[in-house]
Amino acid sequence: MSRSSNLAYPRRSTHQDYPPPVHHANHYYGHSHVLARYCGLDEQRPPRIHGYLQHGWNIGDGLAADHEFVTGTPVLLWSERTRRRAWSLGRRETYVVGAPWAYLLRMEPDLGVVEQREGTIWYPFHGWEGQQVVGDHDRLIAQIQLTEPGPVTICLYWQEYQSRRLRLRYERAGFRIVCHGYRGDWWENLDPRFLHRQLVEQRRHRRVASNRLSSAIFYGALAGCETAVYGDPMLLERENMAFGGQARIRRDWPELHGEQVDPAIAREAAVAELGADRLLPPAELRWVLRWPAPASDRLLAGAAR
Amino acid sequence: VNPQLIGGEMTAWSDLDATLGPGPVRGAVLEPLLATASGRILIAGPHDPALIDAAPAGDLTLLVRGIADADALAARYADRPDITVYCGGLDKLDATSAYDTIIALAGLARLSSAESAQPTWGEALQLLTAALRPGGRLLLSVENFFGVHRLVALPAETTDADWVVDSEYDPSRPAGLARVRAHLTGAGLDTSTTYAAYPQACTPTVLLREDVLADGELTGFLQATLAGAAADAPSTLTDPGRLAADAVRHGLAADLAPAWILLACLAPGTSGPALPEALICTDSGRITGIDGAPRGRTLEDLLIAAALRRDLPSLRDLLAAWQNDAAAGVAADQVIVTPDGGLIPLAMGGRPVEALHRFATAVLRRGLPHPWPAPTGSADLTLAVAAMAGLDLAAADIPAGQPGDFDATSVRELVVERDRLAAQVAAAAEKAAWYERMLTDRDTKLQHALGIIDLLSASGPARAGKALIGGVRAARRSARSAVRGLVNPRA
Repeated sequence: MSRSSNLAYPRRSTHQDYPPPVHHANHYYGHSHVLARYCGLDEQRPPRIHGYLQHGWNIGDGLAADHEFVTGTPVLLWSERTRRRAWSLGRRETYVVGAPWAYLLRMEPDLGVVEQREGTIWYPFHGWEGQQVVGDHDRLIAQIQLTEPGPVTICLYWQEYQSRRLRLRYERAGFRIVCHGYRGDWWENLDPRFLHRQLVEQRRHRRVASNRLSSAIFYGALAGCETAVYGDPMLLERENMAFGGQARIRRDWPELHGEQVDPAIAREAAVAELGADRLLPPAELRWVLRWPAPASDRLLAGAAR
Repeated sequence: VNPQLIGGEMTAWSDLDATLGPGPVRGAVLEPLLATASGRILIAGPHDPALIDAAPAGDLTLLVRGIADADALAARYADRPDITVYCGGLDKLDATSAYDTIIALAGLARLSSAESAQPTWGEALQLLTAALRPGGRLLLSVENFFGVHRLVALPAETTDADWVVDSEYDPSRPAGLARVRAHLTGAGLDTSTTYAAYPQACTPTVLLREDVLADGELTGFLQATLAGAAADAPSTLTDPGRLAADAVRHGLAADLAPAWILLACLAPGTSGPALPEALICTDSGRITGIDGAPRGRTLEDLLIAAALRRDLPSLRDLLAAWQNDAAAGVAADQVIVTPDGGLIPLAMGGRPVEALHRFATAVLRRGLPHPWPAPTGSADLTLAVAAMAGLDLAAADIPAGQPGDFDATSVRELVVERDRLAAQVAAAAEKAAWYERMLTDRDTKLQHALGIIDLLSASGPARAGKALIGGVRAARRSARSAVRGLVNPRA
């Protein structure tokens, strides 16, 4: 089986003897690959990022709740709001770089663009390798069928996609099932094309929807989809409510919840939350990530001297 | 015949010799003030001869207390019969001389000699004023003991000039500009013009009238001017240029001036000649008045404001505008951003990278809670700032040992630098520990992988043998640990 296969890999578990090192999340979803390309570097082999790159939208300090910090290591966040919050939570050396998604969209204005967008791509709230989601998928399916006007594509997280039972349940409802890929783990099974696949899917759909406000909704809004957040938000095993959980998300972004959401408002929120209005020039991003100049630049600089 | 010894003269003393005390008051910025003198003129105290040259010829009297100074002046003006050189103490000055103009820009304390009891500040003013005819004018400098120059200074070294110390503890000496003026008024002197003098009482280069300092639209120009004037000033507690610029921002630049120069008229009299609202000497010449002064804030002020607000897009725009402008090589604190966004340089430019480096250095040395994550120093931060301006520099492009480099001569900046370096060392140590753990983990994995490679690369029978041996070893390890467990169940 090829290493680039996205979905068939079981989770590795050979490194439980000490707390997880801190940088592997930088490569999730091919984020570092996207940024390497933006910086003019080899996108197949992104250099080490000397910092912690936010890898998903959240309402805490931008990083995972179990994230370990090494003092003095920059915390690279998507939005100014998150950065302010992270600072208030004691994080220093914070910097807003924006979401890799926003960089990808800037580099790929045409990827996956279709003449006529159609249907809805629906992201059921997913767990991750460490926490499962508990909820009634049948009820959610019924609600999606009632709400969505066109064909529905269900995008499952790789873990849920592996569950044949769950897949069948959505398939029987007449939905198309996709999975954008494996997000990567411990520098292994990395998937540099994850976001590309997601972009192609989102650009062919008119709507993006989920039962929770999440990265995928903001991504969709930035990629030109109408957005919707409705349905049972379900529960995550041992869900961390430290930052206010779903209740707070509904309080702070009420305008993004509902079956119909004003696309202009959704886009504005996405621009802010993904930092799309404050992307860094490549040279600045390289400085922040502590990445080298592209080889051609180095040659030119050497020639100039 | 010059010099004329009037009594109280000091035989082995010089105020013109800056090794014994602060030296004479000096600076081309003062020349226009002396040029407005008229009638019988007394220049009292140690003034740089270049200033004396600026006074109109006719009837000029110089008063110094050291014979060496008197001799030097007499020699210098040997061919000027209109100049009289007096040597001695203020108390010996003929009170009936009735001068039209008295100039005392070196202050009052250095008018009295060691040979007589030192008058208080108030008594010295009385003695001096007594020599002024009614309607006559007094041009007086008063050092501000709460001025920026004192606020940044450690306790002064005692010099040979301090046989009696001129201090703020003298109750007759008015403390604060308003009290100085009130004191003069009480002495019958109407003040027509007050200048704030920067950066030092003895060596001013900038004279700004109070109303100019109060003009909010000139804030940038004033900050740039005062910061520029303080560039060479000694700093011991903190950077005087920064403090002066802050004083402008807070409307305190007049109150915190190192000295005030007042033009007053002994009643009854006229207000005297009109003096310019500002006199500024820079490396590139003297500026008179503020008609050409640009309105707006300094680029540095705007950059820091955006940085502290974490407004990175504005910061990038400002940096790019600067670096794409003719002012790219001019230090950010010497560039005014006009309300319509234009950039006006107030100083000569150098290489753009030097200007960027100077800004980065200023950010770090002030200990500002800046937005940039973990810069290793001003050269590193210069790269970041340049990148934000759209310039792709390499570390080798950053000048080393340039003006604006960290010189660490002042306590505040030293503490800032120490704290920054301490944090950097702590972070580096923690990161090294993390790398160590990572390395151990990778070593373990590598050994495991090499074992598998070793096994797989052997030929068929050997592979089976190795697997068998490996199995036997594993079994033996298991057996041993099982036995240990039986023998010592708590282990």
